[in-house]
Amino acid sequence: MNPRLRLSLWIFVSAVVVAVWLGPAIASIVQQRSQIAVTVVINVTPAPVAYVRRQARGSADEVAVTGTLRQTVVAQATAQAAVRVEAKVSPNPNATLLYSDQPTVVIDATAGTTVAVPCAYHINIKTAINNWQLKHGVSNDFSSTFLGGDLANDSYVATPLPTSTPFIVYARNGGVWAPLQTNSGTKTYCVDLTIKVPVSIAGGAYSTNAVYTLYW
Amino acid sequence: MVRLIGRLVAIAIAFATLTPASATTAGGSVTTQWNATPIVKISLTPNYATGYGSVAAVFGTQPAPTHGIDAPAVGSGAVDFGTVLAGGSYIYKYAVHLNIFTNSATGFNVYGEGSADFYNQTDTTTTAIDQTIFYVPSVASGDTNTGFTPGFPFQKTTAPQSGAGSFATAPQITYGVYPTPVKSTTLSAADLYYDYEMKVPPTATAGSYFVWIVYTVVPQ
Repeated sequence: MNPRLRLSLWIFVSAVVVAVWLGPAIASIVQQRSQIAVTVVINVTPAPVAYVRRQARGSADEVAVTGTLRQTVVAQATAQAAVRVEAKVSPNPNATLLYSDQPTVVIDATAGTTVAVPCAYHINIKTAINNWQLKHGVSNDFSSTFLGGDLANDSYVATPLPTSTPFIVYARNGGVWAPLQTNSGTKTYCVDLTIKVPVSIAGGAYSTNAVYTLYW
Repeated sequence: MVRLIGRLVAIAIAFATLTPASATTAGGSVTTQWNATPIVKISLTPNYATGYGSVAAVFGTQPAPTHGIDAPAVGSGAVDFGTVLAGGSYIYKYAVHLNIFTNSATGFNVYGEGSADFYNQTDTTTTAIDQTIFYVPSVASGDTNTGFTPGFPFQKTTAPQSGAGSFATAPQITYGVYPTPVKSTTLSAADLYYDYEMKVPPTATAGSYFVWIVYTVVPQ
């Protein structure tokens, strides 16, 4: 046989063998298809400062000290400036592949308390694909003392789970999201949120992103 | 003549021995009151640093920023995200620098609100601003924020305003009751830096959108 022909035949056979051998593996490689974030803002009211117990002429009584009031107005000097925000929105055929009905969730809570919000938002997957995987987690802690794991979720299609699970924090989880579920076709998840605010947290607004990633 | 001279000398002596009335002392206090004119100044610089512009929200290596034609140069124009995809999330880096000066001894509050929802000039639809546009504290340079840095939503003002709806001219908001401030400080002056984020609703219709973000400074 012609040496050149023999070489070509050998390359062809090798390519066929490699394709047959690696084909299923290549086909099974899971890719990220879409990723979204739901902004979760916690407006924290400081814990009531104290109950000051004092002994007064032989009797014990308590004086409640409570929080602050906010503003009202005003005939005073002010100054204003403004900026215009613009964008050109283009259609996206994959816009509804993975989306939330609420891009932002705002929860009011008092430090030292736990607040539960049933179905704070819904996560929608709109596809005919079978065996997709949905993963989730929060991008960051709220602060160094108010951790992302203080936010727990119960995510379900039909029936709530018995318990909520704290979100993993992507930044502290080795850059890995937590599996939520493997499922097929179009699905809508209701996400119950439970936030446990540490008592020591100062009043103010804290935020993080609950991130959802779809793979198949 | 001698008698006349004697009388003049006597009068002169009498004047010389008089004690000036102003030399008389008296105790007491003085209360001084004055009104200080309040000074409140705000200077807003859009696209305040090199590297300004829109970046798609991704983890890991960040794409280069881009911007629309209405953000032509550092320090001018609008915060123009350029072309964005429905359902996409973006951060706009180095969006706004606020330089604030007051003579308030107790600091000031900064309020930042949208004058309206995010308005599509092409088909007159809107998307809720508190679900679409967010602010993220930033820095003068070396910004490391990404599209997944947690932000805070802008709210649509409920206060009366003049010039609402104009693309070209900034509206003026007149507050009776102030909303929650975006920043509260006890300092009399400050430089504030913000990135903006945009989450385009998946149902947003195609077109050119805009909204004015109005900042108001009020001494505490």
